[in-house]
Amino acid sequence: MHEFGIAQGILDIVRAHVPPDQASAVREVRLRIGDRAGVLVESLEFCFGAAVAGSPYASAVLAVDRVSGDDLQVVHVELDEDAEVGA
Amino acid sequence: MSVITIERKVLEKNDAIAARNRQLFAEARLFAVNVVSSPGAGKTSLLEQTIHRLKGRVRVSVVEGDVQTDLDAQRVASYGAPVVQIVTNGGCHLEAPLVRDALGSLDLAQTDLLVIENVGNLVCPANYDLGEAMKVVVLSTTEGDDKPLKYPAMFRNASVLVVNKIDLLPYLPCDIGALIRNAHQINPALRVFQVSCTTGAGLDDWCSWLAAQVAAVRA
Repeated sequence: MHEFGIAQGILDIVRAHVPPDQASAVREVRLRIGDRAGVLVESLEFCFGAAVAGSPYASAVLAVDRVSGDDLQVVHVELDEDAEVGA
Repeated sequence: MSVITIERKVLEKNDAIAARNRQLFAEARLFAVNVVSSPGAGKTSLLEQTIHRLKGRVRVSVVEGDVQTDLDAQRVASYGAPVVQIVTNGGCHLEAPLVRDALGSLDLAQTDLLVIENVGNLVCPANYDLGEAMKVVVLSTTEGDDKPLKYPAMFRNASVLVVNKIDLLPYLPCDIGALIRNAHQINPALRVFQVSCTTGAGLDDWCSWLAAQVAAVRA
């Protein structure tokens, strides 16, 4: 059960790449997860929801590309440009 | 919608600190192993026997990882090795920053062999680099010969398999030949030692191999 730590790691990486005033516009965080990464996707989605709850990223959800191998990467984030900017 | 491309490893922070740990180990010219297994396979017993047999030849220091208590640190300390206990308070594996912080309590310059005993768990520790030279997976005969197939990541990422409790084989349905075949099916390069920490069988081979690894790093 280390998915909460991984969820926090994902959020740290997102924070480092998204300008603070666009945090609330993040709709999707796309991940690449290998079948050998040792991550339970359902558990990770649950933990990510808990990690962003009450934060400016609360409307972000995970989207997962499943691949073979041990990849565990943040691919990109999608922002809704029409969203009201500012947290 | 607009997209911000990121392409970063989620565990990059862990991996960066693991790389710094590895650099520290190289500077101290020590051999570091990350010992992993399920709970009760005999990691601490193997460590006790290893410290005892290498005494006077190899200076061993230990980082102990457990979810709770310093019972293992007490056991190891009674064999005369410097030891620092990490209590993860529920965490299912060690991460590189925890090991880095623990290293401050050890004298690496006075260490030839650093043993990092991970939290008992055949799943999560497989994916976390701590900076070790290699992972050593301990599997006991009581766990059954199918475990390498059921927990492949750990056996794929390890370099050495120590099969413990071979003294119990006459009483168990465990087929040691099948166990080793299963392990090699996952990882053909896996080096295998068969030991009993109770009778001492196989421990001289294991310790001689360890001493040779240490000598190679210090040469």
